[in-house]
Amino acid sequence: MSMTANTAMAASTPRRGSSIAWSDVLLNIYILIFFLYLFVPLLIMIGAAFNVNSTPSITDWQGFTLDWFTGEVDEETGRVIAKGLPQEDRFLQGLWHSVIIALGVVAIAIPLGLSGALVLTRLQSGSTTFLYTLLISPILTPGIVLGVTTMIFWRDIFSVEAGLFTTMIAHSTFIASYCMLMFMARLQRQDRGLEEAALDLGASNVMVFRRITLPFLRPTILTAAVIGFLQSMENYNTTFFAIGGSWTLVTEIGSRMRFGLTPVINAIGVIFIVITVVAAVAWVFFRKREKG
Amino acid sequence: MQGKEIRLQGVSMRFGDFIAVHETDLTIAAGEFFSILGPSGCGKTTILRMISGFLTPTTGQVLIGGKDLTAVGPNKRPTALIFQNLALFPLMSVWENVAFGLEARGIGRRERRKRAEDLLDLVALTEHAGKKPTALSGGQRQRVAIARALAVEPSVLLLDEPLSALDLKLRQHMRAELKQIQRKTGVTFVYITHDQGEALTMSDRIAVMNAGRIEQVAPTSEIYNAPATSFVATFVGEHNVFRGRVEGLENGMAQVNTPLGRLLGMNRDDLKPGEEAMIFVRPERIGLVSQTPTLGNRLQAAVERRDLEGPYLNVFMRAGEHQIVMHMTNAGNNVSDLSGEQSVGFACEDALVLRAGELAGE
Amino acid sequence: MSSLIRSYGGVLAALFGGLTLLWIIGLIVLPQLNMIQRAFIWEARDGAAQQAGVDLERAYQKIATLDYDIRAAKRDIERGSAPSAAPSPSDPFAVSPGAPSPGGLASSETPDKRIVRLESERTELQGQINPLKERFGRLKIEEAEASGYSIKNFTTMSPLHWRIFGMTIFYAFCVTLLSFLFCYPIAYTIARTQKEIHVAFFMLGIIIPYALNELLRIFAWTMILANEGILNSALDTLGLIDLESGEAIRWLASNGAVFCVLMYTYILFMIFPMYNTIETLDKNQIEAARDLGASTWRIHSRVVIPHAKPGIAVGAIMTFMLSAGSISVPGLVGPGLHPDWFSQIIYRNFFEAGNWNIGAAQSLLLLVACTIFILIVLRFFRVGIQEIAR
Repeated sequence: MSMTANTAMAASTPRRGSSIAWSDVLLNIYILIFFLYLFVPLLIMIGAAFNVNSTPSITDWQGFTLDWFTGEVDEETGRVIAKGLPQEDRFLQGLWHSVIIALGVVAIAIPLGLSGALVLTRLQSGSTTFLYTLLISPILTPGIVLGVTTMIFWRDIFSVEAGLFTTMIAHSTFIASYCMLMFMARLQRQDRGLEEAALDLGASNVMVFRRITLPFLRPTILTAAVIGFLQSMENYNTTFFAIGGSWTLVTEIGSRMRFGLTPVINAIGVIFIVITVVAAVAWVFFRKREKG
Repeated sequence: MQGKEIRLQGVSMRFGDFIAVHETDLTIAAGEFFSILGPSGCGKTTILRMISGFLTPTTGQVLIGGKDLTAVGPNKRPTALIFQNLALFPLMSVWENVAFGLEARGIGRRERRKRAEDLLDLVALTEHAGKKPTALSGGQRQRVAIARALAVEPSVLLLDEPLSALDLKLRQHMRAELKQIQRKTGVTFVYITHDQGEALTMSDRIAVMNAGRIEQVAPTSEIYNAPATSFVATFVGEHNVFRGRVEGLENGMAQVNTPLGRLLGMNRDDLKPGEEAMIFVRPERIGLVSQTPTLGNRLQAAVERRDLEGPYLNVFMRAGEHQIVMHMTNAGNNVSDLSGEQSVGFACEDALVLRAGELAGE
Repeated sequence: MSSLIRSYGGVLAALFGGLTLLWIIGLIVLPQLNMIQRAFIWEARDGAAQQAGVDLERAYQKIATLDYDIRAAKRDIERGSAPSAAPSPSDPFAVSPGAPSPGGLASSETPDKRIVRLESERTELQGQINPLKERFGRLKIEEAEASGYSIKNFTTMSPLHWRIFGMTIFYAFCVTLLSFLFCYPIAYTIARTQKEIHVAFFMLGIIIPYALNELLRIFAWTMILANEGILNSALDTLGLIDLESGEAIRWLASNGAVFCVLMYTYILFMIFPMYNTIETLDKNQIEAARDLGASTWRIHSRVVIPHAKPGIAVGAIMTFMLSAGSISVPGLVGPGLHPDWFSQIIYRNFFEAGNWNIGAAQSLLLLVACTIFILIVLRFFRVGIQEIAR
């Protein structure tokens, strides 16, 4: 909680007379409430991950435990005493499915998004705006519609049943658009002179792309891959419609929330939060160091 | 390396409704240091890009070394271009930059490295081979760009105002260096600039361009001493200009009636009586009648200001509507107290009568 | 295309162009067209003809069963032995309600009597076959005439579903509006914060909850809003309600719960675009406006908001689209307790009722609603589609 207090303090702008100070106080109170709104549910969720109570709760506290993370197995009989994360096969299997899908999505979305960006930045034609609208339309389409269209399309045309593959395709459709926007932003800062200089020195178009354009885009490709991977892992609405009889980590969490709540979900949440905080802090430090 | 001749035949370039370059014929001799001089937007860069292959001319042919390369791409021409912003590859080290052209030609890494180092030796950058270009100073980057262009052993080196980003001192130093490299290698240099000083000091010949047309192609001294048009006359060096109408002709001279009286000058354009004309006189060719009584043209002018510029004294005078600039050699205190109404003049042979036309900087 | 070949050469231009086309056609256009086509094809899946077909089939099977039983009974007479309790083939249709079970009566019935009874039953059924056949044929023709391209998938949607559709759009709009009102001060404050370290803290404060999965965020809220949840416990502690005597407030059963959680879930998509545009506003403009004596309200309405238009537009579009199409929040916050959202209707048509074409029609409806909203927002804020890029 100390962080929200800190950030709220940061909001105080230089004061100019008492009339402004009042609105500043109100604003700071509002910001504090806003960040409480953001963080209190998380704290509650974290708390319940360590409660012995097998119904996720913090009000009904039955003692501290790590069982929901580690599970507890009687070593002699092999009997499961507490069903923690390691014993929840469907969660683990779902995580595996999610990773497979996300890797596939990165492999599909990066080339597509990159091609779209390369085409749009260099196409000199009246239809550029139309093409652009078409290519970002998946971002503006509700996720469930993407899931539905992909599912029926592959069943109707190729007789492919809904599953990991259709989910991969459905994700790629809109994640490629996000990637494209990132690549376009990068390409707009590119010095065309470099490509011309390389051509002038006798390089073929393929070599120019390989040695000049691609290295220039490399940091963006990496970022886009990470973001695309996470977006795919996180997705629920599209996945829910495209996954068919299979499941991912996220859809499994969803069905557990409907049938059979367990603090293992809280444990997963805590792991998510820890990874996020570590990654975010690392990223901030990394950027600081890059800037010098 | 061996320089090649460049020949433009009826070349023109049109972008939509805008004509960047009107039909042009131009021949640049093999091994020549040739400059194209003109204000920005005159079409000089367009010509350069047509020679290098980045633009395909709307009409006409580009021949290099006698071969028609009009439809050949930039990566297959024996030309190398040094870009205005140098366009060094920021992600590659200095030697990789220099060796890039060799890499494109499929030469092995070891051989590339060796040849890159030889070239870096030539431009005195050997110890910087492993650095990134961003770690170098402006002048060093300049030399990397030159080495990179020379690495592909071009027959023609095209330079697009490469010195414009440098400070004055470095610029002067690099001029000498470029000229030296050109002599050593014998490559044809085509140098684009809007700076007449650069063009005059380095070039063998200069083409002066304005509004998509080449106004004059001539050796350096001729461009300065015998400008062919009113634009060239005023763009290259300074000129005093008097407007008027031709009244009479006498053995190669034209008599022009100006608001300041009748003036006589060389009739370079073969003007006929009654035609609009301009008379051009260099400031250093104007003198005081009191010192040189033989001057054929004379004017009365009032001294407004004197600026001493070391070896010269620049005298600004007014005669009616005209401002007249006179450059005098600083030969002691003979001129330092010049003031008031003065009788000044210039020899008829030093005055140039040309058809009235556009002036530079208008 | 020629500009591409000039930039990348023939090989790469073909590769990039080809991949882009593959994306457009294979992943975007064809699936959408396929859905639209289905939306406009009326398919009589659970119609009367199908039912009649099933009835006819049942009658045939019953007759076949009776024939088997009759043959068995005749065999018994020929052998003269005791009835061997002829088991009829286990057929779920054979045991129709009301009809006497042949196996059950076999022991108390002589084979002769049985044959008579079975034969009469058979005759009766035989009499039903022709009318059934006729009915089936007639209905089939009628439905064949009725199916094909039509707008029946839309016109036959029940008024309840239309109402849910309307409410979903309305609620999504409200969520968007409220998100804007709540997020604007935050986005403005972060954008105006001078010290970089403070900005970093703010950013972390917003990113951390959002890096967490959408479902886990929803889950955290269900813990708060559940009957035995934290909100009710807190009220209980305050003495406002008494949980022991079952006075729990059923928060999850209300649309308000969906509303609140939707906002929580998608607020990020409002804050970030707004923050990005406000950040680019020249600070001097605000100072200048303040120097000229503009009130805080006027500074925002005349200087900041006009500048932030593209960001607000993007935020509004994203929030609306996500809220209107959300299945996670209405599906997981008190499922079945509160009135449905349109996404749930679509889900049921696909995965429970098997009415894919009706589901497709409803998806199309949702897509059209979102598109109209986007067009309205773009027009209202006078923002071009190109500005929708982060």
